[in-house]
Amino acid sequence: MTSSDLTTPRIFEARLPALIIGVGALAICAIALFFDPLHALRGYLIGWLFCLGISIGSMCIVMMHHLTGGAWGWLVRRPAESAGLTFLLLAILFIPIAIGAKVLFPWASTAAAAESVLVRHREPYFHTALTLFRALVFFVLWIVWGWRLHALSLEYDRTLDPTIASKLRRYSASGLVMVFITMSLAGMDWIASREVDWYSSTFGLALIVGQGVAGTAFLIVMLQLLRNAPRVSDAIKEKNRFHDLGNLLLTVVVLWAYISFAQLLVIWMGNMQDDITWFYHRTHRGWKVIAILLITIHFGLPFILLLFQGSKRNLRILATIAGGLLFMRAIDVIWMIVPSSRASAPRIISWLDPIGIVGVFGIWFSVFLTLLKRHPLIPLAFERVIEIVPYGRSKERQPAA
Amino acid sequence: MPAEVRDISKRLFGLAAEFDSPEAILEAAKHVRVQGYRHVEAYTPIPIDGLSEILGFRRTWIPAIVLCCAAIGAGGGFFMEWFANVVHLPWNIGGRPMNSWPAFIPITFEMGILFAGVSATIAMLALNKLPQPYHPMFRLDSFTEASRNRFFLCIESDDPLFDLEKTRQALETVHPLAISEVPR
Repeated sequence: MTSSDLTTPRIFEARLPALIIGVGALAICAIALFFDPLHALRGYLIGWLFCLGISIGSMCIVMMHHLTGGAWGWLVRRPAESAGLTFLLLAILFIPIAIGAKVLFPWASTAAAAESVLVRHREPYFHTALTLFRALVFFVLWIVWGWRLHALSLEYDRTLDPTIASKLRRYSASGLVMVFITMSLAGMDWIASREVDWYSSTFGLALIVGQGVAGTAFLIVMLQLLRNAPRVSDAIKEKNRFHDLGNLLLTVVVLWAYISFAQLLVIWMGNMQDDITWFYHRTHRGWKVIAILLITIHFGLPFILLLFQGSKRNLRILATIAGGLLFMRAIDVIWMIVPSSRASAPRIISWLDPIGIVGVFGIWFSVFLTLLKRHPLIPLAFERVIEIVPYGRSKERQPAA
Repeated sequence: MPAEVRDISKRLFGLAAEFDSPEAILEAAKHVRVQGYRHVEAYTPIPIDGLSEILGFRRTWIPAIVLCCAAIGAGGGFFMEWFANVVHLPWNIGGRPMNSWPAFIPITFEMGILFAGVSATIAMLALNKLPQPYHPMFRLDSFTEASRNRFFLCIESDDPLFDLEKTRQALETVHPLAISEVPR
């Protein structure tokens, strides 16, 4: 709390403006609710899923770092933990989605049930109360893990007690399993279920890896925004450190492309009526342009740029690539949500979609910065745990058993 | 080139200095580079961070070669499938377009990787002039230590500044364990 490095980065001045812009954009959504409830709620859902992706992705990065170690993770641990603390906020922001579920999701809509035998058939699993209860379970789990990872990490900072480090590893191992199961189910409930005649067993994994891209990209952008804070600037002096973050970004981008393509290929080869609606709706009526943009700018361009060492060892260039990827994540969420609106509603983008993203992200970012500001930006343990080796890469000291 | 100098570079591969620590060879390498020697090579039992930069290691052509070969492999793989399915024997099974590009991607990718891997290996061997069963440094009796605990720095005789006396003096100023002439 007292350390002076907390006040220096200018990004913390953005808390109030972000909050005002966010609340303003959501006020527009709220007004639009009266004459265009579908688009107002849909824009809000898109913004909410975008922020959820950053939080889930960031939490996965922290858990991965607890399990693997390495100097890179210490640079982004605090921002990632703060993003993991926002699940309570995201749960509160979910309330409008739960109330408006009738408009957004076929499983909550009596009209959709009347139209489609599939919706009626899925009633036992997608019963409205049950689906919302599942959401509650997901939120409780995410909140608990986000909170424990943050609290234990602060305690480790104070004590450097190896038993806490091993407790963190246990939370991380179980947490990664937990996130992959819960987020796969949540992806079915909140995204894939909107495309009624569609099944895919890869969807959950593709979604989570996409969120991993969002989390990694967001953390790199945060590192660039915080780079002038004294201890942060010391910690990023060695180029090898954030170079690894660039490698991680390359890995998740390639993995995202690989899994997304695997999903397309399986559906393409099967060529069955039940499977194709997802890609059919997303490659017709102009959505093909977005699909090509996803291939070229969410994968092709960052893939080529991140192959070069020069772009990973220059934080400004790396953060620019990450910022572009974060933007493409928003496009990807729009591409996942908008084309599967009900047949009665047009499957085209609305001016309320970007407004929803700005609204939810503004509020989320403001809360995130407030949470981040409470503690030192680089864990105090960093200097004590990281050993600088002459003529070599810095290594993490093994904690004494 | 005077006859005498040509004689030396015919007779001698270079002058080798021997050190017992990474720090010592780093210092020595810096010193001889500052003196202006360019044809300098180090032989060490472990990789030493920064040594190759001091010795003027340049980026190699390997990435460019591998990229070209990968592009040829990937393009060839895609072309093979496209030609077979669209031009040579169009035969529609399953109602997809003839140019069913998503189905061609795995082979395209595999061929790109295959060509990249093979070309990287071949280019690495060729640019390193390997396989090379004999190297003049093997003439030094103590050179077996280079794979254990000795660090060798050799100034080669085809260096424009190479002069038996002056080069020896230059090496002596960095206090090696020994300086030896390496015959061809």
